[in-house]
Formats: sequence, C-alpha cells, structure tokens
Amino acid sequence: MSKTSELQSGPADQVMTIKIGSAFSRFPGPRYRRQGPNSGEQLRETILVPALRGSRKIFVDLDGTAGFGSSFLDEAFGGLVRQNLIKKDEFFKVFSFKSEEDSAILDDIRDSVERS
Amino acid sequence: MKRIYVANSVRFNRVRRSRLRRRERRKARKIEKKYRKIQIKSAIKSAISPDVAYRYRDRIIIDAPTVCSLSSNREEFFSFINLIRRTILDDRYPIFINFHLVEKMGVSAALILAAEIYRCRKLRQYKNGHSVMGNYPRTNSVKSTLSKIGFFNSIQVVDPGFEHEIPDQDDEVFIKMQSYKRVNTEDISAFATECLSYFAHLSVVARQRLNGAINEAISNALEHAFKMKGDYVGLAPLAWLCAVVNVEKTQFTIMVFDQGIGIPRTVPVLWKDRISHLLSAGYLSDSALIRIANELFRTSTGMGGRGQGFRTMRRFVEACNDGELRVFSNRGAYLYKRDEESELDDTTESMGGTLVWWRIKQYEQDF
Repeated sequence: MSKTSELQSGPADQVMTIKIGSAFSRFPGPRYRRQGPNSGEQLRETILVPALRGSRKIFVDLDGTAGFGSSFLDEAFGGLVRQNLIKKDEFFKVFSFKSEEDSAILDDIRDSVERS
Repeated sequence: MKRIYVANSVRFNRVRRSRLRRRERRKARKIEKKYRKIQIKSAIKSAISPDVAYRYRDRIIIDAPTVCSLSSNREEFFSFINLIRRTILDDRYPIFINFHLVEKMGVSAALILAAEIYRCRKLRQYKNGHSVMGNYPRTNSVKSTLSKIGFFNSIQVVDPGFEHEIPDQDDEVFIKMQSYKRVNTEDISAFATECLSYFAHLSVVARQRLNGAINEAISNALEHAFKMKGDYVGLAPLAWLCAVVNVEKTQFTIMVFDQGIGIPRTVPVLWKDRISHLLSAGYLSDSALIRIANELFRTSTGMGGRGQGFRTMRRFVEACNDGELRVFSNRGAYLYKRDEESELDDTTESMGGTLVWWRIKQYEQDF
C-alpha cells in the first residue's frame, strides 16, 4: 500500500485520517532527522504540515507501531505549535487522536502542546 | 695542491658537523628517555598505587580489580577505568590489562570496559598493534560472561569461547552488546524483540513502551551527551546497548551507555535548586543534578517541550509490578522505583559518561 493512500482526505471541511503505522512508519524514530530515520521532525514536515494546509480536521491514528518516544511526539506535534503553524488553543480543535494500545501517548501529546 | 687541501678541509668539516649532530641527537634521546621514566613514575604514583599499574618492558601493565561491578565495587572499578584512560592519554606506551585477578564481572561493568577499551584504541594507535592489550580472565564465570555478552568481539579480540556450564548462569541469556552511531529504530526494535521473546505473556503496550524507552535513551545519549565540547575531540558519538535475561527469575536488565559529558554537566541549574540543596545537603552533587534532570524535565536546551526522555524511560518501569531505573552519570547515581522515594548516591571517581539501566521483573498479570 502506498504511503499517500493512507492519507484519506476530501474537501477542506472533511476529516483527514493519518495512520502513522502505515502512512509514515511502523518504527517511529528520534526527534530530529539528523539523529536517524523516521524522526518526529520528518513526520511533521512531510505529513502533518501538508495535511494541515489541506484540511481543517485531522484524525491521527497512533496504533500499529513499534512504540513512540516522548521526544518524537513532542517534535512532531508540539513542534507545530512552536513553529507557529497552528495556535495552541486551536490544536485540539483541528487534531484528534486515537491510541487504543497505549493511552499514555495522548498525555504526552497534550503535555507537549501545552508546554510549547 | 691547494685545491686538494681545500677539498679535504671541506670534507673534514662535513664529517665533524655530522658527528656533532649525531652526538646531539644521542644526548636528546637520553634526556627524553630519562624524562619519560620520570613521567610514567609520577603518572602511576598520582593515579593509583604501584601494585595496580607498573611498567614491564615496553608496556604499562594495569591489574583489573578482583570485583568489577557497579553494585558492589563501583568506586574501585571507576578508578580502574579512569586509570586506563589517563595512562593512554598521558603516556606513549601501550597498556596491558591483566584480567587474571578478576573473580567477578558484572554485565554493566563489562559494557563500560568494552566501550573504554574501544575508545582508547581510537584515541591512540600504534604501528605495531593496539594501544590496549590484555590477557584472558582465569575465572570461568568471568570468561563465560565476557564471551556471552560479546565483549571480545566488540573490542576485536578473538573470542576464546566457553562451553563449560556455569551454575549461576544457566538461566541467563545474554543479548550481545551493540553500538549505535544513529538512532535506528528498526534495529532497536529487533533488539527489544529478542530480549522480550522469553516473555511471551507481555502485552503490546509493554513492548511499545520498552521500544520507546530504549529509543529515548539512545537519542538522549547521542543528542545531549556529545553536544558540548567534551574532553576527547574527534571521536564520533557512540551509544552502547546490551541486555541480560534471566528466564528462571522472569527478570531482564537492559543497559544503555554513552561516554559523553554526562547529565550533570548538561543540566541548567537554577538559583532555587542551589539554595534548596545548600540548605539540605550543603552542595549540589552529581546525583542531585541527575534527579533534577529526571524529575523536573530540565535539559541543556532550556526549550519548551525538551527533557521529556526520562518520562518515557520511567513509564516503562511504572507499568511493571517490580522494576527499577538506575541512572549513573559522572559521579552520581540515581535510583527510581515505582511508588518509592528516589535514592541518590555519589562516588569520588567519575565514570566519564552515562549509564541508563533498567531491571524489570515481569509477572504474567502485568499490563
């Protein structure tokens, strides 16, 4: 399955679904690109930023991966706020998440956004 | 006639000059030899008692401690590691580590020693061979531990192999040490899978959290530990990883080690920390700085969102019934156990790096 096929998008008012495990990688990596492959920075730049430009609602499915580090999530999602690509109070209006395997990941994302 | 005389005098002067030069060179060599002898003596004297390190022929022999372990003999082991490094940097003679006296070798100690030997060999290279050499240990259990953990292979020494049965090690499975220059999550995941293959009952969450924790530890090591200018310029950042699984006790231990500047040197200390520690302990020790980094999410970047790596590392421990996270960095040691007050400990000798160490005892009802 190609990577783009996992980014299900429609008109701007519809929800875009991003399944990290298949649209990005099953093995999420470190924070920055320079540290290794599949970094949080790479996810933000290659998938999240284009998605943010194309849709008003983004649904991110975090299940089906080998496991996330906090810095990966922080760079990918908190980085959007730090780089002024989205406002802090608008973040959870645009993004919604699913993590049935480990709910602690959602706390990490919430913390990252709040501390950014 | 006159021409012959001139030619002879020129030749005579040339011979005289070359003789003088040779004599000067001999003199310089003698002085240098004498100076080197004094230097070695003083280095050994200042480092440690002469019965631990001494010069024999063209090499300096260093005796490894009888017990190489972070739990029972940390101070002596660190001073041994520091002596190896100092001797390699200060002297031009190769060193020879005598392992004959070693009776006990911990896995974490073996990991640190392998990394130190690897680094020393990179720091100084000789035409005729390696700058660090040694003999094989005599004790069977030590030889077996080192062989199973891949110590000999990691320092490019012929693995003697070991077939005899060691009663204490029957239930232990050693996952061979690996070194990382970059964070490769696929390799890390394969390592964790190998480690957890003996714990079939572990849930997906446990596996994911372990992957995340190792990932964070290696990322932190490569990102922060080598960010500031260290003592050994020119060496590429490297993170070392190894694990031991005890099937009988349903327990496993995972270690990540780096030789960076250490956590205490990367933590920005606020005045309120200084004052609170001055009031309680009198000074801000390395272990207190590790605790600050660990519990207050503070790191060298000082930027929002940073310093969260420890949370991922602790989360894996929090999800287990019995487990602990130990962080050794420079002179400090920090122990984290779920629902317990963290413990701090300091040594006088610095380990010259950071070791993150998880010990997890996994029952079936976990997760």
